Amino acid sequence: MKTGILKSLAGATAALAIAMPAAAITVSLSVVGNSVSVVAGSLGGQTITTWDIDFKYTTGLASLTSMSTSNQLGITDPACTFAGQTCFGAVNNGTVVDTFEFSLLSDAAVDAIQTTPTITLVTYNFLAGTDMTASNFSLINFDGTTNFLGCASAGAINPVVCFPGSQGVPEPTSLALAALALLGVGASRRRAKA
Amino acid sequence: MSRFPVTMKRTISGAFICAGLAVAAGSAYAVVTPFQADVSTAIDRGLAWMTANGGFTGGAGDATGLTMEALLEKRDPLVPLGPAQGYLNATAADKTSLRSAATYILNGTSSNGTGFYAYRDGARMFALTEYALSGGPDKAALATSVPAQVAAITIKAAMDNLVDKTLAMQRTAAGSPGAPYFQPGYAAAAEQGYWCYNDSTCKDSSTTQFAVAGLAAAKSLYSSAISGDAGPYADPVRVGKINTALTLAKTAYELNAGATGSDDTGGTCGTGGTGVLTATERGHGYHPPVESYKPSLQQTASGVYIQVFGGSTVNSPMVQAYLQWLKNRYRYADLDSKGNGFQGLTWSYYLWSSFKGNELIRLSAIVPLAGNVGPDDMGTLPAASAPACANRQVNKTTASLARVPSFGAGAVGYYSAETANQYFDYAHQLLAMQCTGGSAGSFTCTGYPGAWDTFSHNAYALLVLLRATGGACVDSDGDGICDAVDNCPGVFNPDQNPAACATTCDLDGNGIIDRVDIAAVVALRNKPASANPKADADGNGVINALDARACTLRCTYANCSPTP
Repeated sequence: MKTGILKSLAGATAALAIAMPAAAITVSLSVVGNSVSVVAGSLGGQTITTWDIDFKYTTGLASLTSMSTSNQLGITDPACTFAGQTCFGAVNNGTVVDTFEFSLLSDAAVDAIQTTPTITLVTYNFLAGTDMTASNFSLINFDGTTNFLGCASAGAINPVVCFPGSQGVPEPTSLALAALALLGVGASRRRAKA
Repeated sequence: MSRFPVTMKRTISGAFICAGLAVAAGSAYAVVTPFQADVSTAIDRGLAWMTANGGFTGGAGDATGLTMEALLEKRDPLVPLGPAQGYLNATAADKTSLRSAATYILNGTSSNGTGFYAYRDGARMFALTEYALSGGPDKAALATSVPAQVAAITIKAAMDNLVDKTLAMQRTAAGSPGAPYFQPGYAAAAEQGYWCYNDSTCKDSSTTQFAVAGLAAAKSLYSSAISGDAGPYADPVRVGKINTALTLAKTAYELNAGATGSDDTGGTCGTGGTGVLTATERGHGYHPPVESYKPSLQQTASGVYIQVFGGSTVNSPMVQAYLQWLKNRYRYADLDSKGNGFQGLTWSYYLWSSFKGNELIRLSAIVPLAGNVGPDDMGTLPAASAPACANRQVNKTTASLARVPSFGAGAVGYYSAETANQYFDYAHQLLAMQCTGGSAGSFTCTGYPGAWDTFSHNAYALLVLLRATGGACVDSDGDGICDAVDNCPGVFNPDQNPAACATTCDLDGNGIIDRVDIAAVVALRNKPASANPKADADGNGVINALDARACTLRCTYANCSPTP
């Protein structure tokens, strides 16, 4: 019985995975010393050309002192003068920093920069002595419309949202496949009872 | 690793300003550089000086048109490249000042009657035009405002008065033989087109530039669809007369430009002190060369916009000849050896007129052809390079400058986010001379070359900082709609049908997708597509950073440059 249920669940997982586009990019926060970095992982060959992030911190207005990037979208230009290779902007309301960046380079040029499956997008630097407990920091409002990671789209000029992925809003096909998998779970249970 | 400070307050130093403290959630987001923030502070201080000294309540006298224009041109400090505030978007205090200044001008125009003074009346025309076009109240609403303002005449009556007497005082073939002006006619084409302070009796370019600027602004009002107390401002007949006058002025400058040379004959430019630098450059003096006036920086600079108002473009031969002349003698610190004896007195209006001419070219959506001089070429020629000119200045190196001390502490490199260009040269020069202490806000301290009048000088300084063009109408595509209100200034569409120009990402409708458009998309970030459908490049109903990226990939020229 147990084996049958597990097989059915495995089938449901496989069905969902098949329906998702490419690998699912992950986004996480990494606290090191007095800095908090936004790290994108599992790029799986995808190229991030745009991002818009709401970074929430509860450590107080004066604690956030600077930001930095790893130039993974090109050399960051915080003034968007086109002297650099990106446009970076930020709006800080004291508890949330609305931060965005998009590359001014071609998709291919950005792809050539992003050579590792995990990249740091932006790092928020805090005053020495700030309480750097991880729970003080979070990313909010990742709705895919105002906050997202945008990736190059092969064969199309417009970038596409690559985080959050399809987990957030399942495609109809995914739902159908998941339903089929759950039917399989039910069938296994019935067979076990019998 | 790229590292840059985050600014926690609007005016604290940083590579950019996090505007959130001053902007409510959902407002337009802007990236403001430290220099732009200091410029905004300087503008606020300058306008505060004007307020404190009665600059909007009659204290500026004949310069009230200029002070009022500066207040109308004030920008949102968080969107320094955005639109001028005009009247409706002004603060309550600014609206009060604008109503007071408008009333002063309306009453002055009424009492002056047929009396003409080019400096005064030109400024009155562009200030009243911008005030009316931006929703400024007319006579009836002024009377019921708080505090109440009693205007003798309506805006329409004042503008008609100003325009008609300005037209009558221009030197023309027929003159103005009838009452009340009685100006003689001038048969020779080279004798026509100018104004002379109070009438038509001389060919004076320093006053002609104001008459032309005022008429070019009035054309905007008479081409508009708005109404005042006296009915619609639309007036095709006066627009036609203004066009004729502007064309006549343009032609006069073409006929009277100096062949070569300049008033700088002391040997610092050109071989043997002749002032001649190249065979193709040409300049203009305070009066034509036949009256022994040699070309000067100031009058050649205003000659550029007189050409543009008359229908020329950056690629017209005369504009090219002027721009070459100006490029070969580029200077911002002063007009020493380049001003026909009025160097210190005319410096500030030289700054505005020379910036304005170039800015109008930028707004026209017409780019210089290959090999031609453009507005962004000023200051790119080192003094020792051919043609050599010892007192020619090169653009300031933004990264080598510390913050202007009166705006706070900031080490060398504080302004490094700026691009070296004419605007930075002028604006930085002005910031450095703005006073603190007793005359706080006045641009009359360190390095101040002098001025005719403190109010007009300070107004010119502010108009430069504000990138103002004086509300003038330039119709680059010839469709009868001024560039400033044309839905696509680079495309002939007299019916303003957006289908003729609707291009995804081309927000300014000039036919080119460039960094100006990208900045405009960024300014609309996280707004619905209805804010500007052209900015929603991926058509998902929301304008976001993805659209900015998508538009970047659609730029017409490399690096989203406005030119090839």
